[in-house]
Amino acid sequence: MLLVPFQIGGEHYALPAADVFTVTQVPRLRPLPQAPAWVAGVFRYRGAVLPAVDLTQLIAGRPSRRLLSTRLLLVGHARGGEVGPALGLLAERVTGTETVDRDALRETGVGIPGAEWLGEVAGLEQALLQLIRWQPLATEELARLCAEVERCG
Amino acid sequence: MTEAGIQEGQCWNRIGIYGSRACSRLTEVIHCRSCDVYQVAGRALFDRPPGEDSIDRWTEQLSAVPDDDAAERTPLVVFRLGEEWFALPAEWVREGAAPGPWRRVPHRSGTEFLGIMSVRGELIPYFSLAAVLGIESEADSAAERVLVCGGEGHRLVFPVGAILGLRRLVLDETSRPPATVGKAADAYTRWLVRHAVGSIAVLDAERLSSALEALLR
Repeated sequence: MLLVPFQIGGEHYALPAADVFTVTQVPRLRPLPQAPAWVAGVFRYRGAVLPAVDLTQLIAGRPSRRLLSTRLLLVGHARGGEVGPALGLLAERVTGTETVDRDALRETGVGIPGAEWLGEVAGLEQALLQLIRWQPLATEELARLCAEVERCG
Repeated sequence: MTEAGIQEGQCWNRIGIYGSRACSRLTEVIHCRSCDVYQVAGRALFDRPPGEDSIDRWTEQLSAVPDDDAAERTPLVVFRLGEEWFALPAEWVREGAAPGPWRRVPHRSGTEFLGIMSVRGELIPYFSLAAVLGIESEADSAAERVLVCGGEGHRLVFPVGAILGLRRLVLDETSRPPATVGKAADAYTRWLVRHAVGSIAVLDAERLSSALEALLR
């Protein structure tokens, strides 16, 4: 299973590469009023307005540093030809990929209410790596706020 | 080998492949680029803040709506020779590289076939594409980049002024060059394409490779 790893506060996290459409540099983000702090803003992607969720803010409580290694990962359902990305995720230290055996993934057994986006854990050579599920982050409220921005320009 | 963001005096410049070669790791990794110290330092280059103008460009690139027209786009490697821009089909180009050491071949080297170049240990016939195309180019003697082309067993390498990179361009009947043949460059040109850098002559890889290989016989 191919993963796109990143780091937050020295800890390793990753997204399944199958969920990632594109890894891009971080564009200028327009702040979104009334949105939770972990929503870094919205950006235009091929005519659509997509929200950008700052994973560093979500997990460590501080915004991602503005460095070249901080990237925007566009995620969405890979099924179907017409569907594009639904969400952008800001993460630090996105500089490579990692292959992990699917059998090496373990459920943590700890379900934290409000943190359904935390997924399975895999052991790397030196560190533990936790998968991030993007689906719980793409809330209906976020989609509604984006639609408002699109309508008002 | 130096790069902005990495201080001088790093181990690869002191004891590594670009220095005294005294590093004990070299017996294991052969070249510094296979060593994880070098790789970690390379990744550290990304720990720099991006420029403001870069952010503007990325914002624009992301928001751009791709053309819906179904015109077939051909991947081409665009490079400069002298003052003019040329392109070769991407599948025919293997890599752009820094020139390796090269030497003339007695009785064979001329203005078009220059000699044999070693590109990372592979010995490849070294041509002057500028001379073959009959254009003025400052590139041959002081080239900073060479383009390695051709399939397995048919490699050839030539100096270029600069490599613009991979571009996907629309090649159709309207971009055929006029039939009047002037310079030799026109004989190898299959399409002329307008681009931001100017007019790009797309070369016929098949004709070019057979013409260059004929020089070797």
